[in-house]
Amino acid sequence: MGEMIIRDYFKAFRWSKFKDVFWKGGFGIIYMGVIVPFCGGFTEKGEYYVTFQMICLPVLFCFISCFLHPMELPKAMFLCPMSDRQRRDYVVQSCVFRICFTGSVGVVFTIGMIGLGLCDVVSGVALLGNHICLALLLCGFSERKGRTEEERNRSLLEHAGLRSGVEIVDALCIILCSFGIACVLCWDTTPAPWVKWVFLAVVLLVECPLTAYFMMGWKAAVERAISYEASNC
Amino acid sequence: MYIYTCTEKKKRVGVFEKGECEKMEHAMVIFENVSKKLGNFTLKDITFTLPKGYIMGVIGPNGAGKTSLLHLLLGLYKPMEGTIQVDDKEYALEEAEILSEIGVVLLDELYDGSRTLLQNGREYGRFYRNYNEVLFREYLARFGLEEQRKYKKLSAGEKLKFQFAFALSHNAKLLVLDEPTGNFDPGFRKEFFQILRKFIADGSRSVVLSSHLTEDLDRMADYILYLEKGEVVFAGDIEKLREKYRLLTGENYKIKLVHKEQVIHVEEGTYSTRALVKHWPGYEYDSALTVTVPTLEELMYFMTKRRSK
Repeated sequence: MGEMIIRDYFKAFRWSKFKDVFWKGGFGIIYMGVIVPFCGGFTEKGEYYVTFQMICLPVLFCFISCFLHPMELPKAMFLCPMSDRQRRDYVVQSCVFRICFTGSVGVVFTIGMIGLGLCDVVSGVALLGNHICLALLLCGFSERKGRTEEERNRSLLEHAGLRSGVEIVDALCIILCSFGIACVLCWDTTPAPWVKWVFLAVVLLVECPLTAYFMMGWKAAVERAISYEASNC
Repeated sequence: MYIYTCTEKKKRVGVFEKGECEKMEHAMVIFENVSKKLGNFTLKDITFTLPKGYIMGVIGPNGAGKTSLLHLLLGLYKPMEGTIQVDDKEYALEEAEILSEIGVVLLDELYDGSRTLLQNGREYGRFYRNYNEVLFREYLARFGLEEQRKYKKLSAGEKLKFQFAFALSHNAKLLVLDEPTGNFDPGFRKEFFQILRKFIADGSRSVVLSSHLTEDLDRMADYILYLEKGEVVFAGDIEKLREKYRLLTGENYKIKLVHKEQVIHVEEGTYSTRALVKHWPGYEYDSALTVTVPTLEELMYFMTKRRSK
């Protein structure tokens, strides 16, 4: 099954699928790639721009992966000779692979930044935590395609209740933290040494517990994904 | 009115009243008191049996529950009550085994649009232990489908042909076909039915076919399951069903002379009146009335009229 999961994962990276994501997320790419670096002053030095993009790219990859690999099974797979257990294994393993792969992209970029001297260890650890939380949050729960925002929210409220609020707070923390660390690393002005510790504290004390709380609903999300009725009716 | 069919091995017994259904020895599909609630719609107490070697037509007006019933048969929906058996296996215990024996043609977009037909066949064929790619390619060629064409480039009818080719290529014992014929051209429709006849010829395989085109089912189906508003109006051997009803045409006052218990629905026209009645063997109708065996379409029409009344 492992080979199948890896093949299916990479199979999703096709232009036909990617272009939907690109057009939907096109503004985000322009915003993070051009507008924010210029407005934020991250273009003053080449290394600042590289640092900023090395923070943004894993985040962007995580978002793309979330859209390309929703936690769902195509209808044809419900009709294929697989038992519920095999479907569960497929969903769980592909989800774990997705989280690990997207998380590892963040790890590689962060280690690369530390190795290149673009980032200190404390900020690097905070970034790592950020990437892993984002990978868990996005790739662990990516809803099926084609759902409207209203349907998604209703489903979240029905199935998750408080979790939908937690997801929003967690996502905000991740975005603010990423941006904050980018500012610390990409501005000429050196901030007070405690600032980076504050970001690390936010990651460890806020993001990680919120993500862990959110992950408590993972089992239910898997059960929904392997049930045609639950995921389609 | 509920009527159920029970058939012993190789022998058609016919239409039974509710509660008289005996378990068949060689049944391909058994639905026993199956109920399922789907939002505001409910499939109620569905019971029928399809023996091996026969074609069952599932008919009914729009929203009657035909597709929901097929979804139950395919294990996509789990019944709230009752049991479903396919070739003596139950979904709860042997889902993968059951699905490996079912070939499916649905109206949904089941396959990957950006991949070629051959790639799609390989992609999903890997799940079937009996998938035969040579056979699959043969069917593609026979149906006039280029194997290197992308699935999304196919027309609605061609997509169904592709599904049909795939369904036939993994040695399925049961074909479940949801309204495929409406999208087929007349030439292919003929071939389609020839293939179905050949498919069931050895007596070990069956077909469940839902269709609005009752003319096709009149010719092809051995069994009929008529659904309306989620309930079984009748389920049984098509010949027995035809035997059970008569269509009377004639003057209104003559039709009114027919025993009231027999009459299912009367439709009064300007010049003549038509009525669907239960046929009692030996009963002599007025000689002024034209008595015919109703077609499935006529049966459906009058049954629907009666229920809406």
